[in-house]
Amino acid sequence: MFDRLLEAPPYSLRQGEKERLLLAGLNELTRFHYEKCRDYARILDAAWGGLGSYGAIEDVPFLPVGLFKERELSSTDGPHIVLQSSGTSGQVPSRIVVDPETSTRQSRALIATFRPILGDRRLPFLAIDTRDVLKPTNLTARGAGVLGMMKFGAKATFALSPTLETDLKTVRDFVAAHGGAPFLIFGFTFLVWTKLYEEFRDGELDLSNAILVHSGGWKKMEERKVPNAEFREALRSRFNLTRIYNFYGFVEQIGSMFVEGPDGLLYPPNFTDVIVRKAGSWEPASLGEEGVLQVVSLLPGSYPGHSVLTEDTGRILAVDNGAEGRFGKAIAVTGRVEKAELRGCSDVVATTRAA
Amino acid sequence: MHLTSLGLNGAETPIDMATLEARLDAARGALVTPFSAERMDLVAGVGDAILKSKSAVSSHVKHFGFWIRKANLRALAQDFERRRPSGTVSRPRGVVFHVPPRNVETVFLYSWVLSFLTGNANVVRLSHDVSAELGGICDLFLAAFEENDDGSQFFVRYPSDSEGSRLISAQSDVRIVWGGDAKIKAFEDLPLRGGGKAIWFGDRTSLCVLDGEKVAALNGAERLDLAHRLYDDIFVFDQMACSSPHTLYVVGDAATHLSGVKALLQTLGEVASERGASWATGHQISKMVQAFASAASGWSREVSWRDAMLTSTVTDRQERADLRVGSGFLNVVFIPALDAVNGILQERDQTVTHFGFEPEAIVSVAGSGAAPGGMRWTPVGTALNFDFVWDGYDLPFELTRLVRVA
Repeated sequence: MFDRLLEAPPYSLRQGEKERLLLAGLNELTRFHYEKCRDYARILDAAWGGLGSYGAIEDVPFLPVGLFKERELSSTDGPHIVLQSSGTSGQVPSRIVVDPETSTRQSRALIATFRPILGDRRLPFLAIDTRDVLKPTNLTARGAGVLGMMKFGAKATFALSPTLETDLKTVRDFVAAHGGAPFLIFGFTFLVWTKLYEEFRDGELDLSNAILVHSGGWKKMEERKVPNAEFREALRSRFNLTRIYNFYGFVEQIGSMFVEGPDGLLYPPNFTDVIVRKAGSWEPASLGEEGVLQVVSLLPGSYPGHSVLTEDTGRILAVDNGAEGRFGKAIAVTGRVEKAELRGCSDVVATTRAA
Repeated sequence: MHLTSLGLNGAETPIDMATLEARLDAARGALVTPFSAERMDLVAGVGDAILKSKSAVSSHVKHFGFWIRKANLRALAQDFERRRPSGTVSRPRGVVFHVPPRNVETVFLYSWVLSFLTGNANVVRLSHDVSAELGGICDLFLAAFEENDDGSQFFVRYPSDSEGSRLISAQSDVRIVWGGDAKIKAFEDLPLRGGGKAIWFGDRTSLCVLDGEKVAALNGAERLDLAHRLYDDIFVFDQMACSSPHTLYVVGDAATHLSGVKALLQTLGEVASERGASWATGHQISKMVQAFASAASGWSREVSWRDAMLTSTVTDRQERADLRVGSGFLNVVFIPALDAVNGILQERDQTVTHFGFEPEAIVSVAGSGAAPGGMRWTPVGTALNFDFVWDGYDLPFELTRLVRVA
């Protein structure tokens, strides 16, 4: 099943066929985790009326992504590593249990997703980040992204200093050495904008052979009021950079990446799908309606992360639209769920000081 | 140090410490008799203005308005008078320094009003982000002081990393600090004026105890009434006030009484939705996370998370529940008898709201507890109603001194 979904081109399945194949896999994974993970079984029993057999992917139980910060959920007795990762440094990290089999699936999925964009050869790789982002103990989402993309790159070069200043000479030298043939640039969207585009917008840089993959950091971009279309146009007109791919993914489901299509929408590959839910009732939203994203994936075997309610909001804008052979759902991610500060009698000194 | 004094309409005037000291000294020399007619009238006048206000008033502000209406103040004064030992007269303490909580900001109004009524001069340290509603109440009082030519009341602001708290403490005869334990610690080392006393309102938690039998026997109208009262306790201040309950301890057993409790919680969710409560999506998800984590740990055997207003967990264990999430989150624990609450209470527990018990039973359990917690037992629906006895303090007496007259 997984192999079949993986071997087909990533967005080749029509939604109906995709759901049919995914549902069987998700039912299987739900049963597997119920049997292997005591915490997961307890949650299903207490919150979902026990283990069921689900007739639609919308009915498959989900876990809120924040639960991975609270509990280390494991479905394996065998050797594994616990990947610790947080959105930004200083936050409580998620703890994700990854065994060799799940790790292999993640790698295969990443390759299947990015091969159509990057080809089979490892490309010279320029990261718009600092080498320090790859701290092994508690990886941030940025670090996890760089680490994931390094699999596709060779001769990794880091464009930023530890204090996130652009090393202009390093970037120029890299482009001079590798700019004649396809090469890979990866970075968080906000860093690409502020540290690559803004630093070089008055200078000379030919990125016509570059393939830019970028992700995350939407919130800061929104604050700067740079919509995706403007981002693309600015890079095209300034650097002749046209092969630009935004993607959506999160550390609790490494390997399940939604990559931007020619229409600017994000597409889940065959082995992954997305459901948009209305906050409060948690019922599926209708086409075009904004809600909270739930992502299902066939990758997580060593931890019960095959159906996760994220804290991101978005909307489904098309189904089976066939843009350059892309079928299934197409989404736009619109932001993060809002969370105001709770009131309370208890002040902490830190907040009093800040007042 | 940048010290400012708050005037009408949020106007801030810089005031140097020496001037403030001089004014406080002057005020200390001209204190007013406790519960003077003039001060009672002033406060009651503000209460009337709050209740008559045409703009929408939040429920806790409305409660404050009711609390300071004339009849209530008169009852307070009579009660104070009645309890004064014979052969004594009472005098104000002097200068009282109030450090309110940053978030449940209206709560300090009660202790400040009591201090004003008992004749003291007062300095209130306001934070920089007070709500418009509290600003409006301050304005009502400031206008009344101006009219009465009362120069003994100060609302001030200063940066928290400055010397302000130390300098004002040194001029104060009483200091009331609201806030968490960490905040109290920050004030502990600041000496008060000779003989000064410190009153602390620290971290507190609260709970609710229900008689499962009585809950199961409620008819629809009674259940709705109880749900409205629970709403008042739980859905104000995001369930994060010291006296907001987080756990329902139900006397009874799950097999017999859980369905009644569930019906009550469902009604509570409906009442909350009808009364216009709403939580940010992020809080709804946080509640889901905490409920699922509670299930994963084995604590909860059942969690209810599909209600947009209220998330709840039910455990089979007969022990204290410490999960305190807020924004509409309740743990349900069954206990064999009302007495069992005393095994659950801890020192930091403040308010126990109760439903379905005979008054004698409540008095008996409140009096028999060996644990120091549970400083206030009050019916469901009144958790947030401030009382002049709070956290074990009888405030009018704490804020006055008795003079023996033989």
